[in-house]
Amino acid sequence: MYQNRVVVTGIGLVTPAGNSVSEFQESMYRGRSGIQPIHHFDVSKSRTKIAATVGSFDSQNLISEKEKGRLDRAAQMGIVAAGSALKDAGLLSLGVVPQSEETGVVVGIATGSVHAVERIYDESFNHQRPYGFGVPMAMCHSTAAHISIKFGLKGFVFTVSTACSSGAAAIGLAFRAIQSGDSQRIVAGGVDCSITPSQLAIWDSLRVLSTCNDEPQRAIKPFSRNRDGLVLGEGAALLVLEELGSALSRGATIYGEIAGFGSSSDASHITRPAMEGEALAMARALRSAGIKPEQVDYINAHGTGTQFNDKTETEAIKQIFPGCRIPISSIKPVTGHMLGASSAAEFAASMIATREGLIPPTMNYEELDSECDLDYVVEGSRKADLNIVMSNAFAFGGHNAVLIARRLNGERNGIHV
Amino acid sequence: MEYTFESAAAKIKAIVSKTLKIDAAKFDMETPLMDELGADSLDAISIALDVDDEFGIHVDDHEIGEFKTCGQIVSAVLNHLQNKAAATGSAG
Repeated sequence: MYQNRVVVTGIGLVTPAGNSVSEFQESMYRGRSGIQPIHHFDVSKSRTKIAATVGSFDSQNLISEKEKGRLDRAAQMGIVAAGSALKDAGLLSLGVVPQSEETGVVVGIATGSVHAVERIYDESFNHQRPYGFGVPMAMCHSTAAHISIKFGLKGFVFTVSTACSSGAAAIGLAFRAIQSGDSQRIVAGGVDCSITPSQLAIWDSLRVLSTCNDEPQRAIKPFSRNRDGLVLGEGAALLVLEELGSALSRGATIYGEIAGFGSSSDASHITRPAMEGEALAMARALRSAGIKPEQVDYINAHGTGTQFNDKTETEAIKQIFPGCRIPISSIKPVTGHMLGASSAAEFAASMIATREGLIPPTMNYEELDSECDLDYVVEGSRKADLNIVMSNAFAFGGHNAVLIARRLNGERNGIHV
Repeated sequence: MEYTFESAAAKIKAIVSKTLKIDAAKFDMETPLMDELGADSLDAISIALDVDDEFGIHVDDHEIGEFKTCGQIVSAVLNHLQNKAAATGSAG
């Protein structure tokens, strides 16, 4: 059965590592971390006092002052990232998106509209009154809805929630929709803004957060024996996915092709990862792309810096890539763990890496762990000829999502290959 | 607190201005809230909740749809306050 090929023609980012592709790229290659002490609320009762925050960000004239009062922070970041992605794809030059009826939105979000939910509870419990904008602000799919409304996108519109793999799952679902011919173009990725008092408290209580409060930039240490957990981040990463022929016919600049997607569920434990489930998602992604393990040139790891994740991910990689010598790196020390947004930003990073021929480093690696004994690119950015890149995302609930990016090398018979 | 039309109007204008993010000097008691100031049903609900809090009354759902201008809101508020005072008086 013929399947459409799917390419990425735009990337929009609002992240602790930068709010443009160029800033983000510089941060990930230089290892410039967005993790810093939390100042905007009281953290005295929390063991962890750091996060990767975005702070105030330019709404790029896309959100009015009145709208700001009605939009959760996640929806605001989503709109700005979607606008940047559409602009990057050359689809906002006339102020309206061409073929908007055929353009969809798929947003991955793990925690939902957390700021709005906190406001609802504050109004209800502390002020004994309902919050009038509560329902439309707090509904889980409000980010996708507002992106659709803002840009008039009337196509395939959905919200995906698979915890920390939400962004990759959203891109995977959008990829399938274009591949099958259901949609021509989709803005897809992830959003999450969870740096709030209640979220920090519950993540802190799970004992998965780093307590490296004195050196925030060195907090996340993926694959290093002395790693002590992740750091919460916030952000939005949205990509414009487009059918190859559509992108070529309008002369779009193409970052690369989405070659494959694999998903699986561990079906074992609600928080503890399982090697078998992760390996299954990787195997399915390879099968979907029609490529062999030895063709993979680089793996952008989930690499959260927790004891369990990094050990299990390493085991799963070894399972699929026996005798693995593939370079592997995690950019979470730079971005923090942006939950639903991270895997989308990491797939964007994978696309950028194929384009640049440069692997971003794993920062903060300090001690060899006998259970994490692969090539984690710890010495700094590494030049490499990257044709095929795998991007891993694993999540609480055991929901795994793996994407494969392929570089487009040129044009043959009018088609890039 | 006893409200006159003017003192209630000042409070209502402040609430509308805050909700719609429009300078209070740019509209008056007769300006159509929806047609000219761009208010929608969510704004009307938010304004009603703020009015409830500010004046210690409860605006009924059916009244919210009648809030076409600030002047109409002020009249509704003064009616509520009058009824409240009468009810308190009869009870006392």
